[in-house]
Amino acid sequence: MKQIIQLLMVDDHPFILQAYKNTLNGFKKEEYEIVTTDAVSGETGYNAIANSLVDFDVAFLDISIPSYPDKDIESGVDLALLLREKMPNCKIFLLTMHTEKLKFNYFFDTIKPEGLIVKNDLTFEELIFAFEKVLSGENYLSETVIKMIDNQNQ
Amino acid sequence: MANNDSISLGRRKVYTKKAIAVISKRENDSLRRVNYFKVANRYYNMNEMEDYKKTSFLLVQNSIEAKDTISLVKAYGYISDYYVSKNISDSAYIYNFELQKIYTLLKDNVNVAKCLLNKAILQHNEGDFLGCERTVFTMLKKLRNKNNYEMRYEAYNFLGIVYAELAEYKLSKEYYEKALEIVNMKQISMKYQLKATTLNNLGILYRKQKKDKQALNFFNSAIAENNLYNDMPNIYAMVKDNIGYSKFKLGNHNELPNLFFEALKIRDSLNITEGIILSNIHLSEYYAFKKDTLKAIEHANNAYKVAKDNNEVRDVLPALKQLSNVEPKKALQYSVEYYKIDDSLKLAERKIKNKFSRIEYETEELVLEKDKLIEQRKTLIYIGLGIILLGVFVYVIRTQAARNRELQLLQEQQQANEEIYQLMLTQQDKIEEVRQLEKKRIAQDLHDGILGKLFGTRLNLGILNNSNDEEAAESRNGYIEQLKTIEQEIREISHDLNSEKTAIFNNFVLMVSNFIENQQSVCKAEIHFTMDPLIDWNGIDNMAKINFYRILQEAFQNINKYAEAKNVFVTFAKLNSSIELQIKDDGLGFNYLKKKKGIGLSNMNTRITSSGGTMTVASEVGKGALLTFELPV
Repeated sequence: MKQIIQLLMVDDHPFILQAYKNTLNGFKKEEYEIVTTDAVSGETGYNAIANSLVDFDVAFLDISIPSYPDKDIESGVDLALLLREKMPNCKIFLLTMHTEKLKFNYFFDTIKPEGLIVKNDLTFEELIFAFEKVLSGENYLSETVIKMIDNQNQ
Repeated sequence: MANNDSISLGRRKVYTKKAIAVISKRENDSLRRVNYFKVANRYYNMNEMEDYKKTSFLLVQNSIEAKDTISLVKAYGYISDYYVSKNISDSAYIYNFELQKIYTLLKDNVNVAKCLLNKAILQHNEGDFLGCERTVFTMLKKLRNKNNYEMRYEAYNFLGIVYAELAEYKLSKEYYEKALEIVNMKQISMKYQLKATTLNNLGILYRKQKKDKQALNFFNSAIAENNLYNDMPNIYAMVKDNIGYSKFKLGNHNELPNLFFEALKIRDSLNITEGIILSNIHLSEYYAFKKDTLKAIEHANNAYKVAKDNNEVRDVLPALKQLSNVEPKKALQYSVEYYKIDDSLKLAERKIKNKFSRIEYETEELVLEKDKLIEQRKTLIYIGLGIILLGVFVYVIRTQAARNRELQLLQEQQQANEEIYQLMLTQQDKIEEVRQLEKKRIAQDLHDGILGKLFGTRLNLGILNNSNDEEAAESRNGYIEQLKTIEQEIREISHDLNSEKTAIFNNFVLMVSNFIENQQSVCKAEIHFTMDPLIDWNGIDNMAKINFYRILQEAFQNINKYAEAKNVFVTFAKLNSSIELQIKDDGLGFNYLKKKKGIGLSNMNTRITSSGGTMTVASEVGKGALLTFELPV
């Protein structure tokens, strides 16, 4: 019996969603069956979370997404907060193009994401590695993030 | 040669004639006149008085022709001297007076005084003692502040003589003493023997008062003066005669009649008629006293003859008197002649006095007239000066006011310019803001769009790396297509960035648009604004832009105030080599020519011309107005 993993992906580029899907398609097919839910904006993301019949196990959240002011969703961070509230067991990946230190600190303080990825670091192999690592209960930080934190600690 | 005393008189005359012939051939220049003067002097020295007069008149003529005042004056002096010597007192008086006038004009006070002295002498000779006294005082006035001792001496001595004649003995003595004081200062050459002259005069003064002893003392001190005989033989003779007469009066007859003869001899040799007459009368008196009637009559007759021959009418009288004394038989005949002459003399004196005063009166009248003219001219000059001064004042005040106005205007313009600058700056800020937003938008586009897509494509291509089958190849082609789209997108963003410049293209356009927008809320008319997008405002001088803006402000001020227009068209157009701003309204219009360049219009004109542009105004009453400004670029 394969383990079913409920995966939520939010990114305003359908393109990227497709890439995630393609990547994870080949992930340990014997062990896991990955069920994906897509959203391309704050609104669709919010609805996906609020109306979901299942609890998501893993979420890939892009930080820069079109906002959804009705529900105070400004970015992927707000979706993450919603997820933490609604589905506390969900392992959250925050993905971003940004590389500002302050933002990372903010993420750590509020969401404590299991995975924090600067999109520039990401490759096909790396994504699989990160996914596996988080599934096994560890946290994953991409290369740039690690460097930033190192710099901060020095 | 002509002046050489050692040559006979006849020879000298011939030489002088030759000299005149030579001189008259010369042109009328200063040298010719100098030579004529020399000739005149020769004649005077040779006692050729008629030739002297002729030469002097010639000189007057020449001097007038040559406008040579100095020579003219000198010639007048010569003529005056001639008439004095000829005893023609009225002519002498006239020439002397001419001379005095010229010297007065030349402000030569010393020579004026000399003329006055001559006048006084003439007056004295004619028995006008009071007039003479006045003249001498005028002369003294002219000599005030002048150190001319000689003239001053002459004046005092002469006053002494005049007062003696007027029987004012005390005054006479006073002035003789003043004269002596001057002589004692030793500023005048001793050669003139002035001291002896005055001492002699004092003696005569005392004789008049019948104080013969004191008189004799004065005569004696006069004769004791050094070199008297050599320097002034005439005075020496006079003093000798006086000593003799005083001694005769005092009854001291030791040296008589030798003293009288000595005097007469000198006087004869010098041809001093007056002296000869006097000496003869004294001798006649002496011989009458000595009872030598024959000699007494002889000398009296001599005196009478000499006086008659020389036309010395005045001296005929004492001679006649003496004759009647020494010849009692003919006394009646002599008395009749005496009174006849005396009467005619008195008449002549009165006449001459009148003549003198007439000459002066006529001249005075002339002077008065001249004074009046001068006064009139002065008044005219004052009025003229007043007007000029007033004019200058008005001019200064006006220019000052104009300058102030100009300064004020300049200040206002400066302020306006600053305001516009400020406006431009705020506009700049706004633009900066917009630009920032735009930048953000573009960054976002890049970030979210392009980067995301590139990321996706890269990721997908990475996946396809692992498989080489047909399907994978197709997918790869899809992603390559995707890359093309991304290229396109980048191109678009790049284009956006480029067009951002024109999008926010110029704050001037923004400013003008804002201004028009504002005006729309103030102005009753509909404003139609057209801005030619081809105008490259960035390439235009800021000052020109400010001027355009000011012109717009000014124009709208006019339109709002006066035009009552329904429509206003504001058009910026790009012409071949210039920018044209047209402001057209369909309001009341105005007569540009009649309306004295309204301050608004002239301001606009100043602004456009200061940027090198031109302004044309077309308006008619009732037909709106069209202002056109053209700025070459």
